[in-house]
Parts: sequence; structure tokens; C-alpha cells
Amino acid sequence: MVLSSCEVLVLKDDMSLVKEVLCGSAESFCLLVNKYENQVYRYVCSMLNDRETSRDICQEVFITAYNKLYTYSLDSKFSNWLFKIARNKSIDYMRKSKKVRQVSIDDVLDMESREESPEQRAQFDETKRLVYKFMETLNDKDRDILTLKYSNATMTFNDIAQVLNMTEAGVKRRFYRVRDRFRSLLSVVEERCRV
Amino acid sequence: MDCIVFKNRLNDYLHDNLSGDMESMMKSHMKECEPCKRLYDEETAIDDTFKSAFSIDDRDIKSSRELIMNAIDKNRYGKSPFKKVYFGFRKRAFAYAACAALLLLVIVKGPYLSNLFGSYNNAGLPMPGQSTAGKFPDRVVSEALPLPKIIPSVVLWQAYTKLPKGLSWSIIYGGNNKLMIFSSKLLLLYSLNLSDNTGTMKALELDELGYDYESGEVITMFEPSPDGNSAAIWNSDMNGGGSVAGVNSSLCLYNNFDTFKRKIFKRATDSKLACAWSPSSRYFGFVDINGGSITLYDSVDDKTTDIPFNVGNIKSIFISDFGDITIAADKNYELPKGTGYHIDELGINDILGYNKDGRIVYYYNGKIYERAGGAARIIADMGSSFSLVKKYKVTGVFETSPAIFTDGKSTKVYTPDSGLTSFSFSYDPTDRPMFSPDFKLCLLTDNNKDGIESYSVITQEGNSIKLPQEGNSIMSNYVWLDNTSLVRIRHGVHAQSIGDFSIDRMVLK
Repeated sequence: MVLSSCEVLVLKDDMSLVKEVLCGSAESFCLLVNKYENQVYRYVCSMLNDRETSRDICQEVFITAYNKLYTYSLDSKFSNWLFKIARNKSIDYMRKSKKVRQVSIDDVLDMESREESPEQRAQFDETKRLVYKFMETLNDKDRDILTLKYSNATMTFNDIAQVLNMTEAGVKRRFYRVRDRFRSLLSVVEERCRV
Repeated sequence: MDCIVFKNRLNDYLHDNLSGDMESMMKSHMKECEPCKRLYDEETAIDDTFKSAFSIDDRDIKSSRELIMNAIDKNRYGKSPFKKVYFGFRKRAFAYAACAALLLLVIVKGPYLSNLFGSYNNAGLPMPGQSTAGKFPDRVVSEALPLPKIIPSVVLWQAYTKLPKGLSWSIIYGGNNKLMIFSSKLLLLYSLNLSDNTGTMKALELDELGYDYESGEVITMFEPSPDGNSAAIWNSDMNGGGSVAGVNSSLCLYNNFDTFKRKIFKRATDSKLACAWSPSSRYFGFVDINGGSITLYDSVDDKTTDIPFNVGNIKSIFISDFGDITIAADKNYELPKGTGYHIDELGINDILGYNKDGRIVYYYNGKIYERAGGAARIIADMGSSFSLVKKYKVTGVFETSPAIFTDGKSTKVYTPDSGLTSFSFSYDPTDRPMFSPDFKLCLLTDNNKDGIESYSVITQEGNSIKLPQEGNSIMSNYVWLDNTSLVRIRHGVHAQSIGDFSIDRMVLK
């Protein structure tokens, strides 16, 4: 089987690919899309909870990234720059559509789990419901931090700080505070279940 | 390692922030200490809970790679020296422009530098078709509004001496000397006196509008009326307990910020709604996008009418000032009020709305038509090279922006109220054009190298002026307040006593 250039394993680092794109290689941009498409989609989807819209926004993110690539500063991580664009696009969508940043449990549950048994599925749904209801209680910054941290396994605190224009210490402080709150919520829920 | 050190370093251990040695020490401590191992397991479980909640299986993600690659201009970049110089210049264009502007300012306005922040340029805005040479404002004046006066209110209005921090604020309405600013907890209603830059503000707690997290309700959409006196607020009730979620839709009306009237409609549906105000704000209508019945509210007579409409896949609803309804679905339908709302199928596509005379306006093959009494009249001819690029969306979100047409080089915008206007820039949806009420100016967005947004105002002839960019304006947003002024909200600066945002009015004069 012959692989197209986009399907070849991405071995080059982002900087080299960006430089190649700026030298006229659209195939290198295809490799970047290939590498980050799912991550950006997950993040946008976590922000908007709407799969179709997220797909559109995801496309916009990459088109903007390509058109503005000449402005990208090579001393920062490409993925962080991309997530910044994704965040701006998502916020802009919410603002333009006048949607309150909120969670529709139906949409959330619509993203099916691959768990097989009905019990596992019910547990999975319940977990999602609990987490998204908890997210509703957070302010936007804390919610951004959690979304960036957990929608993409590769995000470090430093990356999150860069995307959100915060200090790394500030991100950590907020992140651990939110986790503490969630731990308290879990214990209340478990207590109720026991009763 | 003792348990106290273990607990102190546990968070760093969980998130891979420890050196190799410290990691080994943590692991060996867990082997020896059961309570610490249990603590670690509990923390891991929390991480797993979040990861699981945010997880989307790769198999559920449809790749857009092909669409993206088809949409980009593959010849945009290249090795040619011209392209390198061009993009090198564009990358630093703002710095070059700033230097050039400064130099020009020193040369031209040297004697007046001391009055830099004094009076405005008195040159008027260019008229359509008129040359703009020397007429476009040579600078934008940014004025911070004085802190809004907070006045005591009736029960539904909460007076605040200090707004809560940490909320993300968005301007959702500007015009008619009013501003509405929204967060997930509060709605701020400003009544402005632009002649002396004063204003009053009332803060309304959203839970008074039915937002009640404890009972599982969230606000899913907020739709101000064109005149800014009313708003439709949709509350989504998530009390289904895992079964069927219902939606309680409520229409809230307030009047000149002085009185508050609320009318609530409840509907048992869990799908999306399409809704619209009539141009004069007299009527408000909504319909489930899967069909069922249309609810039309007449705010003058305070009367609600339910009209059966069993057609699905609804994309948009339009209401005229006379109470007529047009629905865009797979086909388009008209429900004229005078006939008791019987359904007529329309043999036309691309409905653009109703004009003030209550006539349907639509687009077909380069021309805009007005429909009256079964006949059609051409009201604008753009030529077949223009195509409609701004289409209606399948949601309850009501797009107040105009229909947009482009031939790839220039852009034309149309509203039934303002008619057809031309701009010489090429339309790019990622620039998010936002037009002034008279459609003589357009605000465009750009991203700088850090992904931070910058904004320019452009005239019909293509002359542009960059708006000042200060502070953390990544979250800033703008609305046109009138034909010559923009209002901007900025986060995290000038916090003072109104919360963590500030509002500027920019006068283009």
C-alpha cells in the first residue's frame, strides 16, 4: 500500500514542518493538520459541546493557522499557538451565537463511550453528568484550565499557562484548588449514595 | 521519605513534574505505606474521572483534513524572495506602520503635539461614492466611560457595589443608547447618555430569569430584540434525571430598564428552536426545528398565537411587522396573518427576510427581489458573478448580520432595512466582518503573531484604520453603538469597582 504524504508517520518536529510550509510545502501543513486535528477537535468540542459546530470551528482554526503562519513566532510551541487560535475561535463562536458557555447533558452523553456493558455505560454517563455539572459551577478561567488539561493528555501546566496568558504557578494554583473542590463534591455524592 | 513529604509532592508526581530520583522515592514509599498508596489511588481516580468525561474516541472524530487542505491557498507561501520579503514585511507591518505614523505625526502635527489628546478631527465621514482622500479620521479617540451609576431597583433588579470577579463578560447588544452585557451569572443593562458620556447600569441576576443550577436549569440562548427593549431567554431544564430532558422556553420582556414584565412559554421538547423578532420588535416567534407548532407573541396586544406547522428540518423563521411568518426548511413556506395562517408553499429560495412594508425579500441568481401579491420586483441587481456566501444556520441562533454576497474581490451586504451596500474588500468569514448600523463602515478582526486579536475599521472604499490595542484584549469584544462609535469590553484591566472588565467607547469622527 502506498501512503500519501499526509499518512506518512510524522517524524519531523513542528518547527521544521512550519519552516517547510513557509517555504511553500503545503504537504508539510497537511502533516501538521494530521498531527493536531484530533487534539484541536477534542478541545473545541469540550468548549462547545456540539460536534458539528466543533468540526466547522476546527477547520477554521487550521485555515486561520495556515493563513497567519507567517506571524507565528518560532520561539514558542506551535501547538500552544494553535490552541490559542482554537480558544479564540471557540470563544468567538459562543459570543457571536450568543450562546452561554454551558453544558448540554444530552450533547455530552451523545458522545458515546465504547464501554460494552449497560452497567459500564450507565456509570460512564453518570460520571460525565457529574463532571459537566461540576464544570457549570466553575468560572471561565478554571473551566479553561480543566478543559485544556484533560481534553489533551500532552498539555503541561506551562503549555496551559502560555495558551491562557497566565503564569504557570497561577495555573497550578487554580488547577489544584478546583480538584480539591471536585474531591469534596465526590465525597458528598458518595455519602448520599451510602445513605 | 516520610508521609508529609509524600503528600506535599503528590500533585507534582501525578502530573509528571518530578525528577527521576524523586519519582523513584515516591514509588518506593507507596510500596511501604498503605495509607499513602490509597491516597495516590484516590487522586488517580479523580484524574481518570475527568479524563473519561472529556474523552472522545478517535473513531468518533471525522477528519476534516481534506476539506482544510482544499480550502487553503497552497501557493500562498514559497521560496521566492518576493514572497519572503512580502511576508517578512507583513509580519512587522504593524511596527512599520506605527513608526511611519509617528514620523508623519511629528512632521505634520508637530506644533500641535501638546494637544494630542485634545479635540477630535472634525472632518466628516465620507459619503458613498465620494473620495475619502483626507476625509477619513486620522485617529481614533478612545474614551473610558465613567463608572456607571448603580441605582437601587425593584426586587428583580439587584444593585451591586461590586460585581463578582472571574466571570467572562460579552456584549450581546449595542444600539439605541443601550448596552447589554452578559456573563454566566449576571446580565448588565446600561442606559447611556452619549452626549455627556454618562450612563446608568442595572445588574440582573440570571437566576431571577429562571437560571437555577440547583434545579438543573441553564440558559441556552439569549436573544435581544432589535430595539433593545426586550429579550428572549431560553432556559434548558436538565431535570430529566438521565431520561428525557425537557426544555422550558421563557420569553422575558423588560421595558426601558424601568419596569420588568415577564412572559413565560413552556414547551415540552428537547430539540433546538428557531426564533426571530420582527424588525420593529413587536412580534417574537419561535418554532421547534423539527416542526409541530409555531408560537407567535404579539407584545403590543400581549397575545400569544399557536399555529400548527408540521414540517421538519426548519432552518430559519422570519416574522414581519404585520405578524406574517415565513419559514425556511427544505422548501420555503409563508403563513400570512390575514388568512388565519394557512400555509402557502413558496417557489423561491434564499429568503433574506421581510422589509418594513411586510414584503418578502429574496435572492435569486444575482438579483434581489421583493415579493408582493404573488408578483416579484427586482430591487437590486448585482450581476451573476456575485454569490450568496452568508447563509442561515440550523439552530435557534438568530443572525442579525446581513446577507453577504461576494464575487471574490468585493463584498456586498444587504438587509431589507438598509438595502444593498458595497465594500471593496474581499470577504473572508474568519475576519468576522461586523457592520455599522448604516453599513458605511465595517469592523474586521485579525490575529497577530501571538494569536491575539486585533481590529480594524474599514470604509466602503477600502480605507482602513487600526483600532488601539492595549492590555489583555484577547477577550475583548466590540459592538457598534451607533454609526460612528464602537463600544469595547476588555477583561483584566482597569478593574476598579465594576468587576474585572472595563468598557470603552471609541468615537470615529
